[in-house]
Amino acid sequence: MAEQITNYQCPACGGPLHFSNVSQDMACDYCDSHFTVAEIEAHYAAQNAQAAQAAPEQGTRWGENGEEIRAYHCPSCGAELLCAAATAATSCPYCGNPSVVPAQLDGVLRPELVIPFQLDKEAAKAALRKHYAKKRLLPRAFIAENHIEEIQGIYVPFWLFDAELDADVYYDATRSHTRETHNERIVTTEHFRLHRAGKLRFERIPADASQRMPDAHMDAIEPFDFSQLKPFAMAYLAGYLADKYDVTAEQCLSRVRGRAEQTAREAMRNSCIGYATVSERRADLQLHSGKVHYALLPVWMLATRWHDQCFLFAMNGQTGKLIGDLPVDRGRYWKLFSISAALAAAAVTALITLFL
Amino acid sequence: MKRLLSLFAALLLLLCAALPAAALETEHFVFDEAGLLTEDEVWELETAAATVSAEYGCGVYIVTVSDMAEDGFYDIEEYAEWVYDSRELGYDDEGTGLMLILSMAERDYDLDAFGDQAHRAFTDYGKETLADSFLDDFRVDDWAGGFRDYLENAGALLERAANDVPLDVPRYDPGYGGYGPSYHEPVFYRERTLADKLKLALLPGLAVGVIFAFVYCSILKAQMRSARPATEASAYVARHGVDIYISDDRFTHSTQVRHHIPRDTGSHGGHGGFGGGTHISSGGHSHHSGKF
Repeated sequence: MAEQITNYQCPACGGPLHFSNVSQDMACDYCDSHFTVAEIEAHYAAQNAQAAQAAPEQGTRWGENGEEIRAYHCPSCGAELLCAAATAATSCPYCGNPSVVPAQLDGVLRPELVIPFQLDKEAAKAALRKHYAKKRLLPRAFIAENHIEEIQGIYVPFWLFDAELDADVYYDATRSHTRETHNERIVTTEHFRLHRAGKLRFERIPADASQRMPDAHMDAIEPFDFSQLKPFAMAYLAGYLADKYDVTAEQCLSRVRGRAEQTAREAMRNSCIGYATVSERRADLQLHSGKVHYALLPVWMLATRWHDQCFLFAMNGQTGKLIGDLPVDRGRYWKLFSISAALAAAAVTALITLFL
Repeated sequence: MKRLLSLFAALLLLLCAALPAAALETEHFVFDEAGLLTEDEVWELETAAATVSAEYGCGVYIVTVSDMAEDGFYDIEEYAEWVYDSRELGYDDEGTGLMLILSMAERDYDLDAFGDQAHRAFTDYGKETLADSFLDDFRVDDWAGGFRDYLENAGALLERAANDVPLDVPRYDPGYGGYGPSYHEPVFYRERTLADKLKLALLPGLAVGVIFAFVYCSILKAQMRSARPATEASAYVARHGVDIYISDDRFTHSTQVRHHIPRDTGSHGGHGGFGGGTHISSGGHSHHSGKF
C-alpha cells in the first residue's frame, strides 16, 4: 500500500493548519481561519484517497537500518523527511509544515481515542522553571548554563486496560492488651486468622506503548483526565509529533498486573481494622484483562544536556504535571548537611544544658 | 591575786574547750575489719569522718566486716544495730550517729542512723540518695572512693538539716501553699558547672544534629528525583469498584507474657518511697540496706 504524508493546509488560503490547544480546533497560522476537526477530516478524506492512487510509493525503507528509519516527501515543499519507523506525525525541517503519516495510524494501528493537547510550549517552559525553583541542591550553574535543547509536543501511544481482579488473601493478625498487678505487668496477645476475598474493577489503567519513552517518566506524569478522551481524528496530530505503538498490549500487561495487584493488596489490607499487627500469610490474585483501548495522550518532552549528561523532563500535556530528575550539587549537599547538623546540634545541646 | 584568778579561769575555759576535741581525737570512726583499706586511706577517712562529726555533732562511722555470720547474724539491719549498740557508737550521750556497715561475704550494706538529729538529717529518701552516691564505687571494688563519697555527702545532708531543709521527698506544706520548695533536690552533689553540662549535652546533641541533617538532606535529595515507575493503580479503580464479599476474622489463640515490676529497690526497713520522713524501728534505729 502506498504510504503518504498529509500536511493539513487551510482550505481558505493554503497555509499550514495546526491543532490549537487553546481553541481546541484547527487553526490557520496565516489567515487565522478556524475549522473543526470533523470538517478538516472530511475535507482531506477525499484528497488522501485520490493521492494514494496517484502518488508514487512513499515511506521507502532507508539504509541498512531500514527497519528503523523511513523516508517521506513533504507534500508542501518536496523535501525528503527522514524519521523513525514509529513516527506518525512530524514537522518538515525545511518549510515547518506539520505533517502526518496517515498509514502509520491506519488499520489495526489506528488509535481509538485521543486526548488533545491542552497546554502549549510556553506552559511547558514555565513548568520547567517552576520545577527548578526551591531545589536547594540544584547546581546554580545548571540553571545558568544549560538551555533546553529540544521541546517536543508528542502524542505518546498508550494502552488503556480495563480489568477485573479477584483477590483472596489470608492474614495473621494480633492485638494486645496490658494489665498490671502489684508486681507484674501482664501482656496478653490475641491471635487471629483473617480471610478477605473480593473483586476490584479497574478502568483504563494506562501503560505507555512506546519504547522510546521512558516508562518511569510516563508513569510519573499520571494521572490523565480520561473524561476528556475523544474519538481519534488525524487532524489532532497536526503541529505535534506522534508515535505509533511499538510495544504490544501483551508486553505491557505485566506492568499493569503488578500495579493492579498492589492496589488489591492495599484494599484488602485496609479492610483489616482493629489489629495491632497484620501480616499477609497467603494471597491468590487473579487479573482478568478486559477491553484494551489504544489511545494517544499528549506529552511535552523537554531535553537538556549538562556535564555530558542528558536530563529529560516530561510534562503531562493535559494537566501540566512536569517531572524529571535533576542533578545534585555535591558541594551544596555537604554544605547544607554541615550547617543543618551544626544548627540542630547547637539547639539540642542548649536545650539539654538548660534541663541539666 | 586577781591576776592569778583570771589566769586560772582562762586556763579552765581553754581546757573545757579542748576536751571534746581531745576526746574526738581518741574516738575511732573507721573500723576496717575486712581489710579493704590501706593505712593511709584509713587515716584519711578517719580525719574526714572526725571533721564532719565534730562540725555537726553527729558521728559518721564506717565499719567493714568479713562475714556477719561469724557473729551469728544473717540480717544486715539486725547486725548493724548490734554493732552500733555493742560498740557504743554515737557522738553525744544520746548516741547520735550514722553508720555505714559492709559485710563482704554477703556483699550486704546498711546505713544505720540513730538519734533524733540523725533521723532528721538522714530521712529514708536521704539515705536512699546517699546510698546511690557510693554504690557505683563499691560495685567496682573502689572502697576508698565509695567511703569518700559517703562522708562527703553525709556531711552535705547534715548541713541541709542544720539549715532546716533536710533532703526528703516533696510533702505538702500548707504554710507554703503547696509542696515544699527545696525538697527532693539532690543539691548535696557537687553543682554541675556549665562546662560539665556542655560535656554531658554535647554528644547527644551532635548525634541528634547528624541524624536531623541526614533526614533533612535526604528529603532534599529525594525532591531531585521525580521520575519514578508507578507501583499501584488506585486512581483507576472504578466507582464502587471494590467489592469485598468475604471478611472473616477468627480468633485462634492467645499468648501471655509476664514482666516483673521491680517495686523494691533493695532496701528493707525504713524505705522512703513517696511517704517522706524517716521510718524508725522499735530499737530507735532507721535503716537503708541492700547489696553492693
